Amino acid sequence: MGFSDFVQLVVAGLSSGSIYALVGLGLVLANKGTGILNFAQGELVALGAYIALFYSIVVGLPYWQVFILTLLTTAIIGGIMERALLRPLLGAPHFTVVVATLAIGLIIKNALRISWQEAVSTFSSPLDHLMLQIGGININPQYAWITGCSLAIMGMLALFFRKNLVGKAMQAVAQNTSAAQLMGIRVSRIFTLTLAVSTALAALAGILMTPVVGVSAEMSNVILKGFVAAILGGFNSLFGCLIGGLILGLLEIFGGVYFGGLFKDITAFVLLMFILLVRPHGIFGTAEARRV
Amino acid sequence: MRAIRKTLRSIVAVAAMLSSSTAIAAEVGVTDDTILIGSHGPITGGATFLGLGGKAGAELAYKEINEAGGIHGRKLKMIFEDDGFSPSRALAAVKKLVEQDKVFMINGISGSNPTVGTIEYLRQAKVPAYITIASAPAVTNPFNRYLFRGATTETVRFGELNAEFFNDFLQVKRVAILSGVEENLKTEGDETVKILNKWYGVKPLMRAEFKVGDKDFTPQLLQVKQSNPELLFAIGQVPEVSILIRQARELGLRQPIMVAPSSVDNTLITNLGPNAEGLLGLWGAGAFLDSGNPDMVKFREAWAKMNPNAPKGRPNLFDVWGYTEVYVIAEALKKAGRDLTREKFIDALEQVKDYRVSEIATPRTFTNWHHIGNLTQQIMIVVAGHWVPLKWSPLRESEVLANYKK
Amino acid sequence: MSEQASWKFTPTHFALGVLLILAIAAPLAFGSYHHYLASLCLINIIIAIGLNLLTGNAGQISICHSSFMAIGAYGTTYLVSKVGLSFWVALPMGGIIAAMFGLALGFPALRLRGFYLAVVTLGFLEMSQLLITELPSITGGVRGMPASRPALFGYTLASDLSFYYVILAITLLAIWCAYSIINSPTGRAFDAIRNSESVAQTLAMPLSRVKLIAFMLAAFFAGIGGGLFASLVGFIDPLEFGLWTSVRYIIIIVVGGLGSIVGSVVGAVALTVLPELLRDFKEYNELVFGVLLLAFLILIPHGLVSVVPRIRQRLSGKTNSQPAISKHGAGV
Repeated sequence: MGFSDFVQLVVAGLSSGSIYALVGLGLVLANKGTGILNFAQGELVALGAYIALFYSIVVGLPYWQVFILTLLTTAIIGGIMERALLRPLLGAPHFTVVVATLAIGLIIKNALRISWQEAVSTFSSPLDHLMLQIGGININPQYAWITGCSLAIMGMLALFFRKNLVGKAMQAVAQNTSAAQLMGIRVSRIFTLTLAVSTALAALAGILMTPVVGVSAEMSNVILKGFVAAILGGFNSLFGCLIGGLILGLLEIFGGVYFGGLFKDITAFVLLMFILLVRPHGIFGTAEARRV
Repeated sequence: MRAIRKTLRSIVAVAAMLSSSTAIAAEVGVTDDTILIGSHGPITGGATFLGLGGKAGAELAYKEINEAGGIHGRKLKMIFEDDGFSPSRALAAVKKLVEQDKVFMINGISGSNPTVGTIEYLRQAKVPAYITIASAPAVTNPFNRYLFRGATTETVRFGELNAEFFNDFLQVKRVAILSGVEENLKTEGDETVKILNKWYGVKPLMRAEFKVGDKDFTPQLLQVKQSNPELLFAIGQVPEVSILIRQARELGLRQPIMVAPSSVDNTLITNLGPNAEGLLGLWGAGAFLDSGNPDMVKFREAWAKMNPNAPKGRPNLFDVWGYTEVYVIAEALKKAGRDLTREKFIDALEQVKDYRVSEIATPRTFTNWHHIGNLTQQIMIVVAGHWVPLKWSPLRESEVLANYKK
Repeated sequence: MSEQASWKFTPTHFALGVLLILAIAAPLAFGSYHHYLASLCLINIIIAIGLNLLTGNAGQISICHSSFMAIGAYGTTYLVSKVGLSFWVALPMGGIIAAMFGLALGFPALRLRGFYLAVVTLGFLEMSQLLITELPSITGGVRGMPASRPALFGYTLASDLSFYYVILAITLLAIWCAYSIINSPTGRAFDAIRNSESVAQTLAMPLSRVKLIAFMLAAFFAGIGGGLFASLVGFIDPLEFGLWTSVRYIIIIVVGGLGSIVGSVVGAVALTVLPELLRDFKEYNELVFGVLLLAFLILIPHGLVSVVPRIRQRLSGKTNSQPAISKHGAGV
């Protein structure tokens, strides 16, 4: 393998890794904030991509407006989903809530499949058909944009949790719901807000992925990768998720190179098993982080 | 002990008798004014593109035939069931169609494995089945009186055509083959490898596989790059092949690329833009979807009238196949006469020779010793954003039918 | 003997008797499509019971239940068609092979729990799918593999009705086994682990052995179900045993009721029959299914088994007793 191939692999691996990190982060956020393991997260990724497709093709907006409007729309959808569908399940057995999110995912997936039957669709981004050439190495600028944008958004989110009062309240609820309630935090609002943010994160992953892979309802399968990334990172922190995602992205692509394309998922899983056997709570996880 | 065994034996025997006593009368599914035809295909799950297309095409054909007066005074009525691309669900669907709805015949509009899951039952129940799309070898091999393959050709035939095209027209020996792991894709890759070796003594430089839903093909493409072939043959569905070809060009692979029939579609060109130029592929029907051929224009307009809010990229190959094969069925029903039975229908189908509804289809021929309707495929090339036919036809005789002629 | 003396004929026994007679007699009035569906129901009952022992009773998450089913299906079919064993030997052997894999998977479970365990089972699922597609000489690969119907006392059970009765007998046996297990010390140990591993440990329970037993049992039931499934359908391919199949069994036990055999039974029947009843919705089938499922979970979060005690309470006007199932909520 030449140096240029190596660079291309790293760039591709990091970009898929940051998508995994975004999806994983959405899962962790919802789980820590509200105790819900949201199995509809993958479908929310697809939903975000389809909404962006709608704004871009049907309404005809430029990429940047599509970007912001989609995040806002999906955040509202996430909030409504929490209020209307998940709130009634507060206090229900854990498994029931998990299966309920599966049902929500199934509904979203089938609604998307039926309402938009194109085999593959995509919307234009300013980076279409561009190619970066650095020292004779071809790099698709989409990959750089995916990685850069996810890192930036995650950075902003970290700042939000540290500095902003609402962000701190979300942190507090995630750490100890009843104590937060006693401190005068309106927990139910924070729940809604948490789901809104995690849905917007899923949509962000969808928007970023689309120019590279196209829109399809099957995009939702990315939830498995996001889940693995989050577990790898310990299922409790933003930073852990990011590192977990990037490691997974790189593992997959190099696993594919050394063991053949069919084995790239398996390579990642086998390594994950080893990591978990050594560190049963992920790389950055701690035993007390276990919530369920 | 012996007594117990005897009673058990008789219980089992009675149970067996009871269930086989639902013997099928010859004119099941045929009344004075209708003929019931059962169809199944995936309209939920990940393979809906196949079932929804085939179903819409078939519906158009039934409408046209019925508006023209039907067949010998009878209207054709289709009952369509979902099989979700699963063999066990397909079997449930077919059993429902045969036993509950009491259809006259089955017109399968599903993929390979769901179809294979139903053929043993159909064979035993002696229900004629006309399989439109599935290319699984088990449909036609071994020969069976009740099973017919319509639109698609045998996977072996794909191998023959690919191999001859590579060697006779392109004159390339250094070939790299990538394929999906799905049944039809993998088998097409394997058959091409087999025939390349058998006919021309050529071994592909490399053969790798990918999974449905893969989004990144860099590992496989690096292997291709290392082997430095004259031609890359990429066998997959449109979503995967679109990404694969784009990444191949990004990685600096400039070689010509041939794709499989499953991705010879306008969406591939939409997805790839300028990267689609020069792509090669086999097309399994007559005039191409966006051609100006009067028959295709007529079909497109009729289809659009029936599906006013159609998604982009439709009608596609499956719409065409769903449509043309219903006409083949209708042709045989016509030949079988007013006094219709399942056996007469099969005899009539076996007399169909070089029949096609219009130039949007390739001709179908069945005989009483093979039920392979179609061996013709057309090589296409992308020029200026359109698939156009390439002037090349194979010279070698196919070996597919030789197995049947004893 | 003493047990016999204390046995009393209750309304529950009456209901069970009626159900059994129905299960035996009703199919005679229907055709092979219904026999096939009824057989699928029974097979799903066997598999769901296994998963419910593991998840509902012992509190361990597994999303690779479809892999155990696949191992049983491919194992049994291979032993019958390639090795030439009788189906009646091959079927339990398929179950045992699946149980061996269950045992192997149980070891990571000794160290991991919750999501971490779920991810390892997901990895196992991926691996089993890959093995099926990459070992075509054993499994038929992506093309799938035909399976045949067994013979009993010289008669091939070719008709769906005769095979239905055989599956019914095996299902009753499975229910009885599961019932005995739940009411044995092992079953009580399952409950203890689910409720609190640390408490179970302080009570000197052999934690690891109990967990491994739970995994083996679940895998064995799934393996038997898989073997019967292969023979019933007559054709198996890897797509049939994917992630969605595992998820479907989790839905079954949640809808039926966690930790309850009756729950597994009603859940399996409901979720096998429902998609068939929704056939007329055509491409909207799954969408409608999702909506019904969500509405059901919001209205009846404790599963179908929680309905009967609630109705009985209403009728008798008592309000004190909690539904027995609610305590299972905490056990993830």
